[in-house]
Amino acid sequence: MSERRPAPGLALLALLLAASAGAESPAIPSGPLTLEAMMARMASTPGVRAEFREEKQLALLAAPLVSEGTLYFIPPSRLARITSRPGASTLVIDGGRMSYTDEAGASDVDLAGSRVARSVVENFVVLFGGDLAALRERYAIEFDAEGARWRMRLTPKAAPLSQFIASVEMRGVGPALEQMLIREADGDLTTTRFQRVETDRRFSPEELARLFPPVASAPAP
Amino acid sequence: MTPARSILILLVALGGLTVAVATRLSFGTDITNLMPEGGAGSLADVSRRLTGSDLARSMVLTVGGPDTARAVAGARALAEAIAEHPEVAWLRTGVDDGQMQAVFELYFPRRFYFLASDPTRIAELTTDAALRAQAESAKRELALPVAALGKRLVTSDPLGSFRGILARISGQQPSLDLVDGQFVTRDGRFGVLFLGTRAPAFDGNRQKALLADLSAAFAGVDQRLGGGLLLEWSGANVFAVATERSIRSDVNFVTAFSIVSVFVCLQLFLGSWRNLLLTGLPMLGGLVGATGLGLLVFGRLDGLTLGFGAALIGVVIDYPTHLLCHLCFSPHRADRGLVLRRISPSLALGGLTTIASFAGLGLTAFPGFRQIAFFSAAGVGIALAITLWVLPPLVVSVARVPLASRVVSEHLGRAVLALAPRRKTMAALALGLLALSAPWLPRLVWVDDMSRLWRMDPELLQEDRRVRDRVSQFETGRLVIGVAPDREQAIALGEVVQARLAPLVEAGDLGGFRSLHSFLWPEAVQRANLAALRADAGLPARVQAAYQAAGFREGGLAGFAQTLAQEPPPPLRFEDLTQSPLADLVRPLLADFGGEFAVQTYLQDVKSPEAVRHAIQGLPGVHFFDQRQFLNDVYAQFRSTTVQQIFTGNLLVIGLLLVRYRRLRPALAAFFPSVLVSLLLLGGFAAFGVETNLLHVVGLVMVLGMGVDYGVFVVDSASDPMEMGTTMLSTFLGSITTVFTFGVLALSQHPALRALGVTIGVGILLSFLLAPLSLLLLRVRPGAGRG
Repeated sequence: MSERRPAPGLALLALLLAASAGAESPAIPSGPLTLEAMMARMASTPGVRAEFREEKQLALLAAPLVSEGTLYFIPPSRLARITSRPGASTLVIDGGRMSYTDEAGASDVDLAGSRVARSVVENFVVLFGGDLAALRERYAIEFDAEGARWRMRLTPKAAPLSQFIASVEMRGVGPALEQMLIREADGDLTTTRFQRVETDRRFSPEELARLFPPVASAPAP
Repeated sequence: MTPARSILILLVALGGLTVAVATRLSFGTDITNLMPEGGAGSLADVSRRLTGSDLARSMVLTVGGPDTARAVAGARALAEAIAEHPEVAWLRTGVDDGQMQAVFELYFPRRFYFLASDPTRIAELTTDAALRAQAESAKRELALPVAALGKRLVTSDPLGSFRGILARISGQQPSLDLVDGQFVTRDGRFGVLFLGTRAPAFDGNRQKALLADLSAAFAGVDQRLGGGLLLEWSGANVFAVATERSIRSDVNFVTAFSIVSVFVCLQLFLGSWRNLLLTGLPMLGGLVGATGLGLLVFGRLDGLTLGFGAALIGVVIDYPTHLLCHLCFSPHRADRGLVLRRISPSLALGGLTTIASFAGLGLTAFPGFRQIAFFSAAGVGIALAITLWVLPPLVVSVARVPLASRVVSEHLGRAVLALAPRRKTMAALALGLLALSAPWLPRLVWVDDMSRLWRMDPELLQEDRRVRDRVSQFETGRLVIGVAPDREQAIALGEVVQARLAPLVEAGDLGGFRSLHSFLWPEAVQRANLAALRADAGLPARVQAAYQAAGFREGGLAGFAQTLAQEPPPPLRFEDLTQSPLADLVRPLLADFGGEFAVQTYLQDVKSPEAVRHAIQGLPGVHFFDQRQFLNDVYAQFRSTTVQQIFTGNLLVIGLLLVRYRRLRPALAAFFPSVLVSLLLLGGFAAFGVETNLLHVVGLVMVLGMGVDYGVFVVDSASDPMEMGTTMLSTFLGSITTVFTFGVLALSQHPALRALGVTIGVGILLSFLLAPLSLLLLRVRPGAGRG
């Protein structure tokens, strides 16, 4: 089954946040930590809230680009990334649309309009369903765990994703995701660290309406 | 002429014409035939072209399902099932990968052509402050999670012109989401398909077959996917087919009823099956002959011509009825020659006056009217000829006058003869009727809103609204059209229109618009952009400085200077777009109007048509086209022209009557009842609050045609009281069969058919009842012509 897709990176991020477990999260089954267990956990979260600090090291910029804020995720495809530093901005992904608002104004970005974005996004769709077979079809997956500490490395198998992303690496301890590194094909590196992660977060209708302003629904047939 | 020879001539003529008609018959239903003619570039010309354009052939289909995945699967399966259908011209189910690739390949190398639609603003867009703002914006975008996809553009497009192009083009896409490459509504409940048909929307047969095939394809998809899917659609063709089906159902009822009732009635009065069948010959011959001649003259006949024309030819039922009644029931029937000599001039005059009144319709600027006028006049002429020269030898004498005929003939004849000397009574009656109807005439309400002529299925209307709401379609019926002598000038005109409309969107008078501006600018503007950028020798350094100040590395944008100095491809032309995967998107925006070019800007959510008209005021060749309003205006003109032509036709009729009678009194006497009937009808409509429309007018033309016939018959029988009974019998039969044939349309659910039925039904009955008032203006010598 296909579902609407959030943006790359964010989707993965949300997924991994979902996989991470705070104190209140259901525990991953005892025994050796496996990829299968991680994927099963990914598909089961009712919602996630986490604070993040992202540092982008880009060849274009003289200094790293640092952003801080809060991230909200409601499966299967709704994500809000509210940045508080360096400036206030909100990026909302709701199905196939992405809206971005910052101090300079608002704009709608239609993910459907970009073939590359769509191709990138499609590669993450499989993650939402916990579809390990499909994930393996698209990525070379390395997963290793040593005690409670684990590491998962995804390497795109084919273009166009491989043209942009060299690898995505997640590290965590136990059920908690601590860090994600996205290494781009041109060598740029994005490092995101998470704290105060709440998985199994259930959002009230008011919260959802605030985070994801409703789209005018089509009249019923 | 012997009966055998008559039949032979008739069969040969009809057979030949039938073969000609059958082999050459090419029907069309082209609503533009009922639009006034206009020179190239006129609104009428534009409208004529638009009705045949892709715009009028498009449909939107939505496939609903219990969840997004099922809706998408259903829409995709339906698309696969119908994509190769021969009547499907194009099908859009999502954003084509090829389109996005084409956007990049076409526009990226030409990005410096597209910085500012007004090149004089380039200096303003490249000030240090503007460049710094651009750099800050680019840096903000780098912080976005999808920056990996677009950061390469920052160095090669530091002025943001390619991003501007992408923003403009994405604004042209329907506001839908995309799931697995398939358009879906924002709420994820419906997959969406856009479809273009090869046949025009009003080509009933082809559209009906296509809709049936689409339904069948969907039923198959629904069954294959386990059920629970819902197909809803929107398109002009859907309404055209539904209306035609509904009309056909009404007409089928009317046809069945009229055939049975006319047969029963004629059998009752004529008492001979052979004679009964003969009454149909002139009409049949008239229809076939008029169709053959119409094809010969016009090449093809429009469905509307056939519809209206056939209705008008219905008046010819009077001729064989009059002939048969006199040949079979006249007191002089023993001497057929005498009877024929007496009634032939009346029949000829009746036919010629009808032809004259119909011919008046041809003196208009509506091509369709000319066809109708020719068709109906030719049909009446042929029917008259058959009545006069083919039927007489074929009519069999009736041994005994049927009771019904005898009773009607005697009573009506006696009543009319009794009325003849009572001039004061007739005058009082005529004046009373005039006084009753005339004061109401100024209160007559003409309705030219075409949407009120046909009853639309409310469920279909709701479905159409639901589908359109789901896809937020641009209003296809409202657009601004600019016509220019060549393509480049049309593109430039489109730019001016765009500039005039943009403030309306800001002001809220307009929801939005779709224009060529999003894809293409005039070549001169493109060149001016590049020239302005190159003219600023210090620009690369200032760009570098602005970006460096925003935190970009020194030298990071060095490539910009190099790219700007390189020779780009030639400016983008419309042909480049039509030869690319973007062709479907741009083709409706610029059309070749046979040597001229029309740039079309589609409007959305027009809150103030006045504001739109005001915005484009003074632009030569630019029109605000409101299809509904335009068609209503056309029909108002059509109706008003018809009314005027009724007067023209009547002048011709009076002329003919004067030529025939060589005196004013009998000419006016024959004409007078039909005028009275017209006034009564129109006054009656006003008095009863009936909103009158084009179909009332068409019905009135027919009523006038028959009314004058009745007047002529009465005037010609006035000198022979023995014939009066037979004449009144023939007018009675003619009127009652017409009421059975056309008056039954008054029961139709469609206002248009109802209008035709009420006008003809009431009008013909009144014509029959008031025909004796012809005697008011005649000096009848009692006993004249007796024996």
